[in-house]
Amino acid sequence: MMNLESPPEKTVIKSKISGHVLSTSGAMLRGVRVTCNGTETKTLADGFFVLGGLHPGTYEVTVSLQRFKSASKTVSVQEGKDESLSFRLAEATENAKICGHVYDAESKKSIEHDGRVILILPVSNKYKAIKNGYYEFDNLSAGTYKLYTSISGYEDCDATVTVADGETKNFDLFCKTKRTEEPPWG
Amino acid sequence: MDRRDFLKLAGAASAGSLILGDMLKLVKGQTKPSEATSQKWENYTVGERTPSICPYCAGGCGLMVTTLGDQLVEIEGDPIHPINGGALCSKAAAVFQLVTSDRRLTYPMKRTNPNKGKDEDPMWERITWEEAYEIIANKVKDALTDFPYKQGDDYYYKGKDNPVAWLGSSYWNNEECYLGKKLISLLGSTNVEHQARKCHASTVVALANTFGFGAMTNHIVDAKNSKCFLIVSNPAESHTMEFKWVQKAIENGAKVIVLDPRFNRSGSKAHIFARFRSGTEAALFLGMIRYVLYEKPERVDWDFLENRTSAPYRTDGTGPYSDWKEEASDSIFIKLKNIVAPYTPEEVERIAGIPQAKFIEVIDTFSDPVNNPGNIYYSMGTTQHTNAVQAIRAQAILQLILGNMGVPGGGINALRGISNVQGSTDANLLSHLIMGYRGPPRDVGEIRRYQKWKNGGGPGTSADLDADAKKRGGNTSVGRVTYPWASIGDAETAGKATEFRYDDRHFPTWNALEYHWGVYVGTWPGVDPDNEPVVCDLPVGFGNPIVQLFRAINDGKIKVLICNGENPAVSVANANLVREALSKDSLFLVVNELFETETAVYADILLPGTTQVERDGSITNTGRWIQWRWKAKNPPGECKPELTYLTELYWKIREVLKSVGIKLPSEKYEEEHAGVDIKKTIGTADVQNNPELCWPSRFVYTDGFSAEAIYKEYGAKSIIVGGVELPQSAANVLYKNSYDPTMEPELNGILPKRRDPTPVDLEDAKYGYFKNWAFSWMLNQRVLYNDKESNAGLKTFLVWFATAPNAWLGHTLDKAALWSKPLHDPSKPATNPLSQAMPLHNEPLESPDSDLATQYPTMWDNRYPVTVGTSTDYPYVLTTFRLAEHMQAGAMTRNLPWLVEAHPSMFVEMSKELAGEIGVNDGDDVVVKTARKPEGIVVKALVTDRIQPFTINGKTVHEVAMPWHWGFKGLSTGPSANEITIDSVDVSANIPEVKVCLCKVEKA
Repeated sequence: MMNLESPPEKTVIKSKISGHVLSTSGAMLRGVRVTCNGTETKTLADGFFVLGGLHPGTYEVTVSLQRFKSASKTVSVQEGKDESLSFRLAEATENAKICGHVYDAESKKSIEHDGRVILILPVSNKYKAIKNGYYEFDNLSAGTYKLYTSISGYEDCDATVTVADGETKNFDLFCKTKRTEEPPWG
Repeated sequence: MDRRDFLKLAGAASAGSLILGDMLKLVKGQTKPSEATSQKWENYTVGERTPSICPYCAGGCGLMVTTLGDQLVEIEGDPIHPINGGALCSKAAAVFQLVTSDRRLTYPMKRTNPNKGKDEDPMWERITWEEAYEIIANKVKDALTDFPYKQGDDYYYKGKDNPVAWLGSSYWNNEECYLGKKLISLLGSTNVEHQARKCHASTVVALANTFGFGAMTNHIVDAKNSKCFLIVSNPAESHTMEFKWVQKAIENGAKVIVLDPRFNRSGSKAHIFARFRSGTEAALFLGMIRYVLYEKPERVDWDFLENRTSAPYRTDGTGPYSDWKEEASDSIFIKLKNIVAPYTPEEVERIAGIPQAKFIEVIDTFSDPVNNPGNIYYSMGTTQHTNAVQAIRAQAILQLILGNMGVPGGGINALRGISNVQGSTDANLLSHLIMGYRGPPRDVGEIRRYQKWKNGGGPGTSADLDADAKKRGGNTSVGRVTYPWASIGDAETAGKATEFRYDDRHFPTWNALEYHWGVYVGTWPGVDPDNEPVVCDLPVGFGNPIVQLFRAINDGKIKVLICNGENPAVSVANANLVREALSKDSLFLVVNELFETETAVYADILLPGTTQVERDGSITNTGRWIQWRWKAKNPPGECKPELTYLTELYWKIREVLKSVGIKLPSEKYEEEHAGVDIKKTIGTADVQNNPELCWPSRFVYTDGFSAEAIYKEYGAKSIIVGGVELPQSAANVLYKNSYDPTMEPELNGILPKRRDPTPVDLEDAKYGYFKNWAFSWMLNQRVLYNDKESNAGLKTFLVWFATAPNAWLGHTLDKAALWSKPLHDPSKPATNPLSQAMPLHNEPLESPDSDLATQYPTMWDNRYPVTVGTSTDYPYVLTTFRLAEHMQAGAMTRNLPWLVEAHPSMFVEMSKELAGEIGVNDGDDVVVKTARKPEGIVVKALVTDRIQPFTINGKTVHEVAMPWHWGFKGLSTGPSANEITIDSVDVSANIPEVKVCLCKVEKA
């Protein structure tokens, strides 16, 4: 039986913290891990995130994405009041380097003509022209990277390279010639 | 539909039927509000009626749409339409529900759930179109930020490396497909694909390399002229109105032969039905060629072979040889004869499981002269294999030796699947073509040669190089370098015949696109093409075909995918990999659709498209008829017509990209070279490199923002600029002359709008060409390569690539190619057809018989890793098929109650024998497993006599079959067949081998 004399329970109006995570150059970062006092979410394609259901208190919000420097901000949340919090993440450029030569897999000769090696990154890939059969990506942070080649007359050559902080990793790529050049159907 | 179109319709009525007269009276009726369904007849007397074309299969059936204001009253068959004559199939009859469905998307949305997956609710949030464009444009900008516009000293984008990709759509009108291709090309990407890759890419390669064009050679009504049909398809279900004409031919005494792994509705109407194991089509047709050449040589059309094919020549291009039928001649004909020799009826039975007597009955009937002309219909059963190009080539060669090509009632008739898949393919929403089956520039060498051509001389030349240059927009400065070879003879002497032919075919199209797209292609300033920097705004090089595209997404190479009217999460082989790719955090996915599809569930931005009765435009049916459909009503909610969407999207992307300095390569060149103003001078006019001046079309200044304005540049007969006529006026060479202001002025010169069923002459009346109805590419020729058809058109074969690189069959292009140079790779083993440049049989990548797999090894070349099972683990053959009541990946049918009621759930068909072996009864749940998904998918068992075991190489082999329409969204849901199909592809056409793999079936 309901006790009509007891005071009603106080309803706490929960709050939320939302915002955008962009790169320092203004790119909208998708898939950024956003953590806050044990809860976690990810950013949407436009870099937007929302952390809901928060009680009043002080929260430390941390955002992290591979190849970017993590960042944290502290925000005080009051009952029923939503907070806005945005981040600009800098690329984690450090001293690691991946470099090497690009060879014809059959002749083992250096591939001299125009082509590129492409480094896969979360937002915008990096493209390095092959010069005299050599490529180089510097100012990388430690980690594992995917590379692939794009050279006329050759199949794409994919590689996964792990590099430590401050390390220069020499990684040569061997490209197979296109066995059958697709005829001009047009 | 405007007044002049109605007037044209009225003109047709006076020459046409009484029915049309009645209809026109209704068109002019007053409008008033009414209950559509309960007062149908009354509404007919007051509503407006607008002609349209069905959005489902590629038959091109006419619809008549009745509206009251913006209220849709009824959609019925168009009674005067030559193809369907008022009749409709089950899908077309449901277009009403498609348009009025309350399940349609009606406003733009963005997902608010950061997690993606089949079981993740996107938690859509409504946004405005402007917000959507803003996000999309900025994501494109982010992806392109470091994408290089410069390669060494040359300025161009490498199309395949571009991180922005585009999909679709065969449901869109030609004008929309064209603008889609224009948009993604202006972003520098050749990563553009659509449904055609998955259905008839192999047709294009096979038929283009044999005849000249990769399309259905005859047309739908033409079936009435056939005496015999060899059908390797199921048109009674998949192309129902097509089959109406087959039945008409039956009434006239024609024979029908249906070949299929399973007995189907078409088979039920056949005089002869025979089963064969999926994946053995090449063996079947090679066996048929052998039978005719060895057992019934009197049935060979020797005159045809001698005069219209490469049979009397040698593979080195020499000939013709008078003794070409003799072994010693070493002719292409003798090579063919030797190639087919092993495919005896016994061997065909061993490979395909078709009993010898039945096989002989099939080919004996089809090749019998009393049954000429014979017609071959085929579709996905032949096209979706690792050796599909070879199987289609074998069919084509059979028709050549029987003389069944270039005649009414004959032909190789690829039945295309989607209403505008022929048109979307013609618009080249494909990674290796730019427009009208012409490729993009493949390397800087071609661009340098193109600049020389622009400067004067070469293919299409006149005696006056300056005059050439003025038309082509070349540089006429003193000392300029012009094209080196004046004629094919010159080029041949220089060992450059291949280049000459290639240039002849491609350069006029690049030239047309330069003008129509407001771009620059060449070297700058164009005086010294060998040494100046290349400046090219068209993307260079081929992009990723569909299966490779999703691998590129998985690898992080592609960052933005704009997917329009496509549902790859259901429609692409090994859909698990596709869904994995669509879930990637590195991918930004935009989907434009009618419904929330299985692919849309993964979208970041979901945009509402419109149905085909809600917009104007042209579409091209499987028989190459380009027909117009008129807007009958406005779309609901905030749905935007596709042309508006494309235009607003392009403007926004262009604005955002320019704001950060991402521009056309020619604009970057100008930016980095002070004082340079890149333009080309055509006649007396300076044409700027600025796509904004000609988006969506230069005709927008005379025709307003309309589909007509775009169609005019797409199919123009003649465009004068600066006082001279462009070398090629039409953006799409296949559609040239279909806009002709001197004809049909009341239709604004747009000939696809014609709706006059009156024959133009006795020939038209006899064969049912309907030459005053719409327009047919090329040049309104209704039967390709028919040298007797009365109007100017495509009379001969046009195989521009012939034999050796520098040997061109007597300088002529008019011989059908039994031996195909572009399909020749001498480095391949002798068991590979590419080593022979003629078809051979090859087993599928997953073969149920190890002996056959050794003897006839697969053509698959391991161009990327594929998960392959063995016949020990997966003993049964699996194939897929279509149902009459459902369409492709299902979005346009599984959301409609009428069609869902007709076919409510996913199933697998199996024989009684197999069901008995594995203890399954009809209606049981079974698990179908393959190496792609070892845990399998659960579907209903349909135990039927329609499927029976084969005896292959002396052993019993079971085959099962399932429709592929289902997915996890819609009114009717179920597992997708493509969760378990194999994603190996035809090595020449990159079409997935979804028609055959190995599986295991168990009771669930």
